[in-house]
Amino acid sequence: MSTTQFPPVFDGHNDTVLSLTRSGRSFFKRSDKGHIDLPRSQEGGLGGGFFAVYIADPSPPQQEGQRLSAEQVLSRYSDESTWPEPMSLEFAQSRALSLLGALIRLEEESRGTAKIVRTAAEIQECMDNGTFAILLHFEGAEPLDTAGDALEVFYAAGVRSLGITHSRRNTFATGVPFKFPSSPDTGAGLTDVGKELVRQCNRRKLMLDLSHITEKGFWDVAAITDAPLVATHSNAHVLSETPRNLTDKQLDAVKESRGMVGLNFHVGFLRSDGKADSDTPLSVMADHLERLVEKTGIDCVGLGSDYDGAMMPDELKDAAGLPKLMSEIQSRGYSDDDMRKIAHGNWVRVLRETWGE
Amino acid sequence: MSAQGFPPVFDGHNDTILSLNRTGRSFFEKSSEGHLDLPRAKEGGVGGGFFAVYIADRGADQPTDDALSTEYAQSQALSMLGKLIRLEAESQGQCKIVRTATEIQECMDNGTFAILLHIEGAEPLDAKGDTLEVFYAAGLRSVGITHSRSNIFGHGVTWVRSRPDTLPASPDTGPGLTDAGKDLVRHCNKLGVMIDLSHLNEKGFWDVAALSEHPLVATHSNVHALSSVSRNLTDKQLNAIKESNGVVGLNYAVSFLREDGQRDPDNTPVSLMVDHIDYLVDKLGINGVALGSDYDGTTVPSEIGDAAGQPVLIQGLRDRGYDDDALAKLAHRNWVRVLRDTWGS
Repeated sequence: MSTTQFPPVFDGHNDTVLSLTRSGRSFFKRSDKGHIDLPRSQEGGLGGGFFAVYIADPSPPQQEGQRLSAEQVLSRYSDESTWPEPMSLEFAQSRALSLLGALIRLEEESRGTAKIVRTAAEIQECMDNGTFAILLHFEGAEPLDTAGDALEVFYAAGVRSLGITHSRRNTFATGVPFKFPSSPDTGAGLTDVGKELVRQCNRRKLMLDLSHITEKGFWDVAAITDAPLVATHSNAHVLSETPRNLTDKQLDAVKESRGMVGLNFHVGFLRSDGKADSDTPLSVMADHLERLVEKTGIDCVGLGSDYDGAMMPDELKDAAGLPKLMSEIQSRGYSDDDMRKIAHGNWVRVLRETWGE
Repeated sequence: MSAQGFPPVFDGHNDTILSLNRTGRSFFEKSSEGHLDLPRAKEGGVGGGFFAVYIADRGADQPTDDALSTEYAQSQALSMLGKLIRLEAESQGQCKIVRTATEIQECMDNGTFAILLHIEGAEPLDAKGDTLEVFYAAGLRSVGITHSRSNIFGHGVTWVRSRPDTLPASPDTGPGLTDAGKDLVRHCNKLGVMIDLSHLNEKGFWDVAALSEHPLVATHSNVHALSSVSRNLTDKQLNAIKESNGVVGLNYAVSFLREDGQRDPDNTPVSLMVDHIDYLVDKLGINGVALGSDYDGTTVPSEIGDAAGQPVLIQGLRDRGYDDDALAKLAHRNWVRVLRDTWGS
């Protein structure tokens, strides 16, 4: 079921819960702030996606009490030397409980219009019947202890996907800084507890997300995991040389594992000059998508917007603008079947293979 | 399925996860430390129970009246809940986290050990209710609002007042629920989380009684008229529990059984436990009484010793004249009944 001429989109990444808690806006009312709410999703044919639980660092002392602008945040993580000290486990766990609780409440408050999804079959059902699908995802393992206890609780509560690190360092791994141009080979790989975390996720059948991790970390995961390799919101490095994007070699590994890449809509990861300039044409997005399909095949590419966490191209604007992107993609000659795969079919496929149901 | 032909016991309270953490012993190997592990549970016919997540004060082995930070308590709770969930995973089908009354009854019938996730003291919960949502989704089905201390939701009967030299000690030791505590009661009602009144002071008890739509339950408390510690229930409280179709679980703590409140396990006979049961049954009826051992959290009578000694109590009840039907109710059916009434499934 779709509200547009295109198949419904299941999206690989958003920071909507952070946007909701910060702005105070409701998920159920149309807003002009941020990118996703239920009315704009319905208008644009967005049927659900990975909802990230990302734990923001406490503000630096000199800016305490005021919110950092997007540019200030990006610059804070642009170089390892300005990264904040890793946050405490207690702080991260407390914040994670609050954000997850807010997401679970969305389901309750939705009166059946939104659902926390735990299986690939549930996602497909949502795409078919129009229920909005919320997949609980951690962007950074800061809320997890090294004994693996908290992961058990979060899994039981419905978390099904984990990015080991954001663009910073934690107990388990290191992420890439936001600098341009740069190879993703910017730092250390997984720590020993990070390797153990990969094994635990495999046992528990949690999806591991490789967006944000360093190249060494990527290869460490690739060597250990028995699941397909997935980067939920990353683009083609050959077209935009940010360390957040994937090199051809990485894309080959994704293909070989029958993994998945979700196209990131952030202009800074799309543009060849790496600039945060929203005056970026949709054709650049289609260029990346084509490149990803060329490298990994039509079964391994989807969307990973980064809505509510990044700067969108002006033409796209927000979730309501999705049909413009779908139209641009379709103009490159993709069939209806291809469009369905890109919109959500590939996510359902890779999650079924990862979760086993 | 059970020891000596007795019905399996579903127990209202244990601190086993804390004991496992502190001693390093395994739940799956018979130990001489503590009271409960799977081999001793099987030997004694204990088929499962409420497993308490109790957050000890930072760096202290004994409970104090100090409040805890929410962040610390949340972190500890995640660790303990995670360890309980792992027990299920490691048990290879021998243990199950139970979320419905039907699942508990199935466990009693087929011999799977039933673990009910319970928080003893709402310190890990935030006032907005977010954490409760996550823990409920993870399987938590029961919350004691306070331990014997104060938190942002209410005030427990203080430990000091439970000491023998201060007897008799009324449970009316302080103010009732805070506004956040009243919200918590409503939230638990809405989700279908059982509220446990053991440890809560008397004003808090009456606040819950006025607000809650569910039967009133004290998982591990005894008769104040027989042992006048602040942790036990007055006749007036027992009447309110009866009226709500609630349940009281017998606490095996010798100091909450004995008239003098002394911690004297060798001279606390099982007949005294049966006296408390008789009194509770007289006040609540046979459908309102169950067991709430406090295994691994207290000093139990030497005749019981540990979970393997559970049949000694059941035999004592039988000797007092409880028939098979009454024994099955006391052993587990009353818990199944009140949880079905509370949870709706």
